[in-house]
Amino acid sequence: MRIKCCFAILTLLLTSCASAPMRGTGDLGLIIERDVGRVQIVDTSAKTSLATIAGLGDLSHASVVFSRDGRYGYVFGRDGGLTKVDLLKHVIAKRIMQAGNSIGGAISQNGRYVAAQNYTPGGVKIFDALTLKLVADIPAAYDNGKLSKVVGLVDAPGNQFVFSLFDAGEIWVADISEPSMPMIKKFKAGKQPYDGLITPDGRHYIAGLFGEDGLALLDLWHPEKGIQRILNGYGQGSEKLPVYKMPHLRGWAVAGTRAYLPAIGHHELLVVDTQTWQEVGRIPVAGQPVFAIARPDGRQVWVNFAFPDNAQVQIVETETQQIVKTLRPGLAVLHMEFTPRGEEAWVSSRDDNHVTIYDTQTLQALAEFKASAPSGIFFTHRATRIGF
Amino acid sequence: MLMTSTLTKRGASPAFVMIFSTIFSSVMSVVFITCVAFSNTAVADTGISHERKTALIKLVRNDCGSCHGMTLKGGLGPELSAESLHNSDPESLRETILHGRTDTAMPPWSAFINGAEADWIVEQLMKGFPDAH
Repeated sequence: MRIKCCFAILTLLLTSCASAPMRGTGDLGLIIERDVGRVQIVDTSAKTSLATIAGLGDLSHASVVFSRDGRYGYVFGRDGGLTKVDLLKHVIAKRIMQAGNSIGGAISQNGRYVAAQNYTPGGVKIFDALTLKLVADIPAAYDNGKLSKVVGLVDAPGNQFVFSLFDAGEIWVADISEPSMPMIKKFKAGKQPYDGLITPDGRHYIAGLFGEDGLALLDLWHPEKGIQRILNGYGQGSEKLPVYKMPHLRGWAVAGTRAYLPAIGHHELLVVDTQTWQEVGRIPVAGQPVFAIARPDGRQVWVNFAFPDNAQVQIVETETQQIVKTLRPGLAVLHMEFTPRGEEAWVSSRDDNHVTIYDTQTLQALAEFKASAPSGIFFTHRATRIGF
Repeated sequence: MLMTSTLTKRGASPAFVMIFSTIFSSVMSVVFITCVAFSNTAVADTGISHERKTALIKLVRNDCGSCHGMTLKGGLGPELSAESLHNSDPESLRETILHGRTDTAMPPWSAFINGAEADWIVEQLMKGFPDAH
């Protein structure tokens, strides 16, 4: 009897040693520590950091997309490194150097391919999401073989990737149904597209233009109609101010039936109706907006700013189009990310080396934790959203 | 570096320039060491305090780094390593920093950086920019 009992206890002990407690990843995320090439794995339910992973190279500009099961984060580093991080085992599952200078990436609709957008050599590279093996290389060639820097890469329905060519002033739509032979359609967008977004329904791609007063819109349901210019001449009548950091566009700009877009060289958000694509308002803000991100319910838009106004975050109430609060989370606020249903926002302050967690209802800080020069904050719910 | 280029422009022989810059840099390092030895807020040759230099290094790495990369290997803006700049004219780099460059994304920094500071940044860039730490 005694032996039997001991055996049972031993079996129990061995089993529990062999497997970590089971958990999902729906409340996990990654925070970039830009100056030291590390990421923190965080738990948004426990409001805590679970692990720090080093050895990701130059993360001075970095972005992350997630595998569709939410287990892996693909981290695109500035130096062309692409690192697949296992959020459950807290390890690097795979890492490759895929370019000399990179700006970000996307994951395909079916989750099978990860695409990186590169400055050097200018173009897009597509990898198998499981193995990170190269499946297609799309040089952004224009003007007799020059290579353009690529920006604004997003996934689109129909297993497409859409991206913009900064130097060439073009938007390209790549269909990767046959991944080794991408079918590419090219469109003239305008001068110096600096970033792009796809609307949450996956229908419209918009490129922001640095070199012109206006944005380029492509209806992916009707690409044959070509590029439509929206918000043309939005800056007319007022002096263009210096832009010390380029704004970042993503589908987070859309709240309800309106999109909130940073004006270039003007301290304003442009409000556009996503049914008619006509301007319906402007909101004066504290500086050059970098990110304008809607809370998931669309009731608020949180805005941060370029140098030298980057110690503030302003909150716009969309119902009244008014700023309801200016927060001061710390010096050099680089990024904001909402929890999946938006009850909290996590905000990174690079020069104060901390991340602040805000209650989005009361707009009060709930917690703060240390991170080394934190920049991007990425939560796994991006895995299920078009354009993330 | 600035001194050397000015001399070259005036037609001094390369040998003379080399000897002169060797003497010049030896003298300057003595001046620098002396300043450091006597004061914590060393205002060496440039009239820029040690604190301000630290702030400028951070500004270049972080804020110029938004486009040129924190390691200055380039991004939306061109690479700013010593190797990539060795054929550049310091005067034109200074002007670009202070007044920006039309038709590009380079903004003017004169609201935050004065002429002497821009000269110092150019000098540092051309010999390999110091680390932020």
